[in-house]
Amino acid sequence: MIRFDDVSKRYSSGHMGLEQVSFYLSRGEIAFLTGHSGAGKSTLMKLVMLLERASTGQIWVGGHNLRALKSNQIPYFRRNIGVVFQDHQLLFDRTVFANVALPLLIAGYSPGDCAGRVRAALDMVGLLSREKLYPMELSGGEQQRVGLARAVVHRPALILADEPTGNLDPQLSGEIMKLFESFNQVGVTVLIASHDLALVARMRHRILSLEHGRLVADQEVR
Amino acid sequence: MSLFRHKNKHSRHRPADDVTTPRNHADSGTAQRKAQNARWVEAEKDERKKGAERQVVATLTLAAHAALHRQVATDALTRLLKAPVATVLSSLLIAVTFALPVLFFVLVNNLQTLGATWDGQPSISVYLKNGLAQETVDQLIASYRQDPLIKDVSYISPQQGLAVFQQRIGVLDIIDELGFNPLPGVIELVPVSEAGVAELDQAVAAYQGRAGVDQVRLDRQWVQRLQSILSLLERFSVALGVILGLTVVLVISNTVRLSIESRRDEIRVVSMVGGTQGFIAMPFVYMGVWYGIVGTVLAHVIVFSLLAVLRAEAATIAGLYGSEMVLSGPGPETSVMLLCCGIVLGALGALGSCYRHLQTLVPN
Repeated sequence: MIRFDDVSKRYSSGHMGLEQVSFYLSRGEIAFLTGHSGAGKSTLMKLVMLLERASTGQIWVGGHNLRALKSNQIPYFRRNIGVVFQDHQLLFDRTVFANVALPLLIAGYSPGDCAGRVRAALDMVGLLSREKLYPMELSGGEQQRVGLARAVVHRPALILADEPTGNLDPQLSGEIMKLFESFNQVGVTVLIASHDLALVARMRHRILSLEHGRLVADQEVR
Repeated sequence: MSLFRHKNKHSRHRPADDVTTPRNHADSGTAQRKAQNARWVEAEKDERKKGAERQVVATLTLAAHAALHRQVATDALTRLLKAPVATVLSSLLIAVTFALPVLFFVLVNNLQTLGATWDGQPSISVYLKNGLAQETVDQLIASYRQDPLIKDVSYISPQQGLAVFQQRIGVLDIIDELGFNPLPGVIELVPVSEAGVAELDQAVAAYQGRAGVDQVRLDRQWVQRLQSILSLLERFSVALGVILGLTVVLVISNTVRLSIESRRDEIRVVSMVGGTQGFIAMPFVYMGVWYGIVGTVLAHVIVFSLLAVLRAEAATIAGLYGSEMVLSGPGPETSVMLLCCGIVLGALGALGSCYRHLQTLVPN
């Protein structure tokens, strides 16, 4: 699903975000990406969803060489990826329902089809009863779950999560991770960036460790 | 278009492939790396083959397009109505900018009707010198009667002129105070209708030289002058319209820019979940269109209320000139045209703004 081949990213400031990173994440796999802040986790995520372009090396996502994708194809490419952010990036001027419906609206689903899928996604994260509320009325954990529902509502083949539990207490973090696992169990490829080593170790999945932009370890913990 | 393919819309997620993934990077030699890459490429190819039957993303039907546009347009309007004061202020600016050329256009149009209602039969007024002997006057009249170019001759003596003048305008007091009749005798000549402009001009020049004649006026001249002034004004109003149209574009573009700034987060999120540039720009374009519409409607309010105020004044002035002219506002064609202009300029302004500002906001 994701293949990095000797990928480096140098920012215009001269800072090396990533250096000669190669790895392969097969379809249906779940993996964690760990490292200190500044180790290159976010850079790697940005490269996968084409928020940034690699300086050198090749990246394949879903069988597509990202270097060959033109910028007008990028939106369509991103529709196949669900993204979860640490600060969940919800839109506060619209309801939970409208937030979750956004990716569907963008992909051009009819309102009828939309409603069913949005409710299904909200049900999955246990927030079906909250659909009419605004994000401000929800707790941090609930907001993150709305973000999660938004990431999966269009049934992407790949979910990227950048520090999805960064602001949550251990119990909530565990719940969120369980949700990621359940998505993975139905075949979605999941890549989660997290610096919470204890949590990551508890989950017992593959761990990719970054340090100063280099991939230093790739452990299979099963 | 989909870049990912799935077997089936409902059971698309398949269990992990049985790919044995090499995991030792740190010590990868060149040969090892090559072998590893080859395995990965094979694995990826295999994946694509397995799941290449069906597209995930729904293609947009015409109905879905229409529904989307309807929703975005309604959203844009609701957004404007939620901040009525700001909306009205911005729209007023646009309205005033629209109203100026429209008022000018209406003015020119009204003056044109004034020129057009004139009966079109030119006449020549021969103003005589003061204190002319009756014989000279009679001779002149006789000579005009013989002129083949002239159909009809009538003489208005200074006394008659004074009588008409007093009756019409009522300036008796002023004339009384003067102590004498300042009006000259006038011979009014009506040319034959076949007479051309050039011939009449020649005749006027010839009459000018005769003894006892002070001044000859072809009264077509003022109409011609009026018309040339009007065509100048018309061109001016077109130029004014173009300049102010540009102003409208800039005003709307700036208003939209502010809105883009305030909706940064939304734009970022939409872009990250796969919104195209067009999708991101759509609400702003509709916003520009609404501003255009509200602006033109308000411009009409401004124009018609100004005309209502001016109508009484205009009627008085027209009365003084013996005209039945009624100040008329922009007709339905003008209004429709104006509305279209508003919509187009609004969309243009918004598009320009999106083009300039979305580039910097949308991460690509």
